[in-house]
Amino acid sequence: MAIQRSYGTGEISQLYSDHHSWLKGWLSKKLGDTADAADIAQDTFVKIIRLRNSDLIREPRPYLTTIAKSVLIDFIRRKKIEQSYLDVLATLPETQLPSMEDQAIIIEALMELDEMLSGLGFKVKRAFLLSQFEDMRYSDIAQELDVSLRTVKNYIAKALEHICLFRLRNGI
Amino acid sequence: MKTVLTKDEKAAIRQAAMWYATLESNDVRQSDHEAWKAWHLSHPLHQKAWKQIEAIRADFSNIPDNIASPVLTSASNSRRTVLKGLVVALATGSAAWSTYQLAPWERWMAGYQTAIGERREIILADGTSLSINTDTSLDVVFDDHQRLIKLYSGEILIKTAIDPHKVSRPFSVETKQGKILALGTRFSVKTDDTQTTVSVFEKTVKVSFKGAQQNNVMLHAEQKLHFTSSAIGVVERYNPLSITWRSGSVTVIDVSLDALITELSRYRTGLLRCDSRIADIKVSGTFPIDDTDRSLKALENGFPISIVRRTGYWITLIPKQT
Repeated sequence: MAIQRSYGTGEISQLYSDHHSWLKGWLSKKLGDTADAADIAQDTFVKIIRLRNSDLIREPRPYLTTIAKSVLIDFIRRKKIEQSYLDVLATLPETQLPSMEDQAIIIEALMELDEMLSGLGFKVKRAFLLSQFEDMRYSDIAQELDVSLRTVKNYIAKALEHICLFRLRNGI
Repeated sequence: MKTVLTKDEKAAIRQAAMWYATLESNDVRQSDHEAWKAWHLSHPLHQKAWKQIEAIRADFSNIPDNIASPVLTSASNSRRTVLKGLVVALATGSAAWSTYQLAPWERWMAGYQTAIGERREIILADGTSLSINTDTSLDVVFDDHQRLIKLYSGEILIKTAIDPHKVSRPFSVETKQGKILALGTRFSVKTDDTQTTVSVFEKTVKVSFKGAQQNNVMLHAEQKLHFTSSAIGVVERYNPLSITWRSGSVTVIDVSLDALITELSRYRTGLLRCDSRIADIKVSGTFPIDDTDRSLKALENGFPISIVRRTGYWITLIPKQT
């Protein structure tokens, strides 16, 4: 029997006990995987707490599914980055492997950098990454990307501007 | 703490970024340094912006160099890409998101784009072979109910495979003007903003139309249909040579020079024009599209025409100057 009522600020624990099982079940059906469903249901409530909505939650289930979808997107992003990261680690010699703690920090940093670079075109992103992490000179980047030196300068300027604005807007 | 930036602050940051790139470039000159000093000095906002831009490079020191570039260069991980995939899955009414896992996710929700002059051969998740011609942009959407290619612009050749899915899903190609349902076939679709042409090489397709009021059309082997959003052509005989691009050439029999030039220009950037006095010369032959300069040279040798290169990117064919 669905419980229909509104939830005010500070009533998260009530929201949780009323709807947590339902959300986990709904996510399980969608994802076909109960382990991930549990994680995402948890993260959904954590996100709701963080959002500290001062409005009443009038329609709890639609609200929960909306937040859950947003959590799912980040979850998938993280999985993709983790997978790419593992693929890269697999190519490194044993002596160069970072510790588990360092790996966790690196994944977070990669997520943040990926977010900062999103919205930039592929070549712009590449130009920035090549200059930042592979110390390539602009003329070498120009050759690598098959564009002019002038274009590389514009790309790097664009990336720097984009990152700077992102950081300022998000208080980093 | 989030900051809202003024127009002047944003402008200062854009300038600072450009200055940073200018000074970092390996062709920087003394005059650039001097100009930068003047810019830096002229306003406190410039100094603030410069400091903010300068801080960026130093802040990525916690990511090992050999990891960041390869990880972040691979398929975009942005929220927008992931969201796009989810939105499509939801829009196509797929009841479950069970295909969200990494590898299958990337297989069925993929976008492909070829540059001008580029071609690609792809095998899709169900075994269908997809040949992509120059300057083409498309999305592949496979879910529980369908196998769909959304062709935004360009040209593709498809040979469908039997669906390995437990329930066989229909295979379609969708353009702005209509939808082509494959009934076990080999067919090509060429489209741009205003028109679509479908040619069938084996078996049958069913074409339905978005704009024009018209019943579906069944198109069989060796047939071709051209339609816009308001008009549908008659079913014609196909041109078997229309897909020789897959092997890197264009073969024509008795077409006008103008038509050939228009076709060759699809495979090169820049302008390729043909003077009206020679436009109607009839041409036959096979012309490489990976080396259009060689094709033009062949035309110059075989016909009373001259190639004029106005700039690197602007070429005109004119009557031969004696």
